[in-house]
Amino acid sequence: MDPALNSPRIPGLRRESAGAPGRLLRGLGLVALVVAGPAIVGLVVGGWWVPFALGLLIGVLAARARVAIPLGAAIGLLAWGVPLLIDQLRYGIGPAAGSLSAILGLGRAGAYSGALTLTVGLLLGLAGAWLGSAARSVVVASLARVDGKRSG
Amino acid sequence: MKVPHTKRALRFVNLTAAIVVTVGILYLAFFGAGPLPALGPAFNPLTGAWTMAADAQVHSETLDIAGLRQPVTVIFERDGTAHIVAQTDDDLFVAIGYVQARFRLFQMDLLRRQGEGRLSEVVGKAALDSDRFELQLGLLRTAQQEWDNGLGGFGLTRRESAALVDFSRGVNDRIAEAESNHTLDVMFTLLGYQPRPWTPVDSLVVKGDMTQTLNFTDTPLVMALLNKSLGTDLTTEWFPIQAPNAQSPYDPGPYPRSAPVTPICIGGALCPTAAVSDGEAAAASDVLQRLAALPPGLVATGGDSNNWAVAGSRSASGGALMAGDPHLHLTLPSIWFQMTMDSPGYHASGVSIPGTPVVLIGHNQHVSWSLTDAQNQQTFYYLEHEDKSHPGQYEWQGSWRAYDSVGYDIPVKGGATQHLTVKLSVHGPVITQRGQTTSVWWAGNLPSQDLEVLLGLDQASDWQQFRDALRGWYSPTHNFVYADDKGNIGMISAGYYPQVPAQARPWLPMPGTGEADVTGTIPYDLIPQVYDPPSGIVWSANQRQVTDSYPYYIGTTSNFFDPGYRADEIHRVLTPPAPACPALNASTCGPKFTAGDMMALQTDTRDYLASEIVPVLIQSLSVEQLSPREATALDLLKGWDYHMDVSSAAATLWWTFWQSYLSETFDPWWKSRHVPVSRTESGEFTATTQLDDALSQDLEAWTLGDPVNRAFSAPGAGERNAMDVMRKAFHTTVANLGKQLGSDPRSWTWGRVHQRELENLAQISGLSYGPAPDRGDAFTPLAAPDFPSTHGPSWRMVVDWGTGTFSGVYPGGQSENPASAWYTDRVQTWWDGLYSPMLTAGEAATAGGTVTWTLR
Repeated sequence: MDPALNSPRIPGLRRESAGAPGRLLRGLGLVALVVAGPAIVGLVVGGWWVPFALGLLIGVLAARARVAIPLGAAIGLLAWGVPLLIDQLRYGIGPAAGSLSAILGLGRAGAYSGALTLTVGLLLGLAGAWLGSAARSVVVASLARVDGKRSG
Repeated sequence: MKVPHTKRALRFVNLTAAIVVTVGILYLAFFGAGPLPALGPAFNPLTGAWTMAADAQVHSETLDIAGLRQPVTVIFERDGTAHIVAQTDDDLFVAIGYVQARFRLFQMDLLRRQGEGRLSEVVGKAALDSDRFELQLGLLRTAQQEWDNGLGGFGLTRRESAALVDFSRGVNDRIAEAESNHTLDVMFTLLGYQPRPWTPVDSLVVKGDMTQTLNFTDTPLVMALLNKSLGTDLTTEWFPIQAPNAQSPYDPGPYPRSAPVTPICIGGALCPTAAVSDGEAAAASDVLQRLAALPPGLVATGGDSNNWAVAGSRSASGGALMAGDPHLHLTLPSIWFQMTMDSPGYHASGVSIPGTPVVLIGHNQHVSWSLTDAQNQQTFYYLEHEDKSHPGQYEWQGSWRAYDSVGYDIPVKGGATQHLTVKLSVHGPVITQRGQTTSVWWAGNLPSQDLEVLLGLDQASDWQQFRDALRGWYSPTHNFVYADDKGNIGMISAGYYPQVPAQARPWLPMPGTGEADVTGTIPYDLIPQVYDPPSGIVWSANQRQVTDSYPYYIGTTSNFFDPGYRADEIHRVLTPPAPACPALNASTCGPKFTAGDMMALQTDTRDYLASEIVPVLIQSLSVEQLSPREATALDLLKGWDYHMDVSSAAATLWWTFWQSYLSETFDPWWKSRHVPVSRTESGEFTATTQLDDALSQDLEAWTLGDPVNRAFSAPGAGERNAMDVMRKAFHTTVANLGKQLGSDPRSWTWGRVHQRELENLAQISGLSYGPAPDRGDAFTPLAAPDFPSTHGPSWRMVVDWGTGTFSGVYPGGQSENPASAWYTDRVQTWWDGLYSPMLTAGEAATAGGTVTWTLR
């Protein structure tokens, strides 16, 4: 028996069933959006690491890495990307992006700094989820071995 | 169920990989790497660098500012010029602090850190040399003495102190606000630090920065090395006190004779000088090498500013005209912040230096003023006499004294804190102990009440009040031009003119045993000054202000007095033709000038030296066999109007010729005598004194009046005269330009070789403007020295009191935020030689596109 099946789960995140990938994606997207909210709140108070922490939590709680890691990455991307999108809609971030690229020595193309920013957010969420998921699999497997020895 | 070993191993590999990657990402996020800042806080879209997008939006609003007694209104013009209208003077200064910090906090922080030796704390060991030097020199010590009512009772006045305290409060209000809403300037975020609270001492240090940039010099050290290598005879002849060329002093005398006087020897040459010892030369070399390693701008290397005034009797409007354009390092953001001070006690408009609560150049309801650097010697070096039998002591006035010392800790980002001990003699800080212990006396280290003076200028209503206010001005010495609403004009070179006993030689390092100490300054009534001269004009362009009959020593030609070509050109334009006005009393004849004429003169690109020398060059080539390319080049020069315009090929020929002429004349001497001081600003090591300015004056004078001067017959060059050297220089010029720019001289336009750049203050090239082709050169009123040129008119102002119009522009914008529309919005106007009207607060309120803040 796969030890992962005995692990706690995030509500709404069940193992994917054959023939329902669209539903799974929608579910993941919904969770990402819901979790990105607290992540953005964290960013507002300077907690740039909150997407990492949430990713870590998801990695620990989610049964499967293939679900947890994309979800963590999506949360990081959304948490760092939505505020930029809002700023862009409110007053445009082109000059700021260009200036930031220039400061980083990347020329005046704002796309570079924008991409770098989104990448940072994505990596934070992804790294948290990956670490949580990897730790979980080791811990759960160890617990299963212990249980097996006791019962055996 | 048993888990296979391989699967278990894979889980551990996966965990290990996840840990490694996570650690890497978190390390970058927390600490950054190499040029990358800490990515997490820096790129947090809600509190990091991206907040510059929101910060760039300025809109009308009401802001709560702690410490205000009454509401203050701030009206921003479309270009960000700030009109600060307060109901009390105290509130005015609080609001100035807040507004300056709102738009220039990072610049202000850099300025204070530079002067206080705290740059390493935020940029690392790259700034350590600068920090050590500044702490050694003592801007911070002087500012603290001023604030603490220190030495000699030169404490601040009550008005000055109150203004500084209120200003600091406003700055700190902004710091607190920016920290709470995460709108600190992007550079704070990327460098990963927060500004500490602003204090009055910080403002005094910022003022000290400007003093240092304009008046701290190394010329006596350079002169010592020249004496040692070139020899006393050539040094005396080539770097005299009085310039050999005909300049245009604005104060032609007559001058009253009065003691104390440092004598000027006959003909304006230096008095005979004893040979410089090896120890003195070693000390001079050591200090010069250290100065050369510092960031540019910490040592005064020359002056390039203009100002002048035309009396009402000579203007078309009937009112006085005034023009001023101080030439400084052109940066983004600019050194200037434009504002209007409007309160019960102040109604001044113009530009201020961020970090200081006053209008430095501008006008009020009755008078206008601008300034240029006066260039007199305010830095003296003293060779301290030490003896092994008196360790840690030096001899002064017949007795042995222990050095005072003061210690500093210099925090270094990414490194260990460094400790610095500065030794102090009675003359000032010990600047080197290599070869010969040498200390420096600098007028900028005298506690002063300069801010009180500026507050006085802001309130002056006539010449008497203006002149009285300037009585307390020490350093840097400035030529203050004046014009008022009654049609009067004046000029006064206010500041400290240190004098030493007659036997002393201040152009060299002097003995520190007491006999050469500074004894005082030229009495205020006897410093260069004129008021309502018969000619109806006053002008300055960093030239020597007085003739050779002036009885006081104020510096040598090597003390970066300008060669005078800008002053000559300004004087030429403002002086009516001789037939129309044969006498000095020109007020009733000659052309009537307009503000437009003043603007045209500020952007004048006519090279006065070229107008003198090119005809001689053409004459010298009349007997020379020329190649077709050289003949074409000569034709270009023959048809030239001496304007250094972007499209002019003759301009390129002229400038390159003059440099070649200087090299042909002087380089052989430099080589044969092994002169360790670079003639220009590059070479064995960089001399911060522009010796070429002095040598240009010599060459001009010899070419026009002494063509067989022995300088032309350089060692190894044989017997030559000026014509011979000019011809050779011309051949070299055409050959070199042909290699660099192609075969057709008509394509050698000035714009191909001469560009201008406005450098970002933090040296981020992507945030600089240019380089782009631009007109002018070092000798034209529109000054544009160097390649690319990074110095020039930092602010242009023209006043017409007859029509009541005030105009001004500076390159850059009001905001240091590169995402702001106010970062570079003024550059093109400035580049095109255009101006913006300087409105009153009332006019601004009714103008379109304004933003209004209510501070309460």
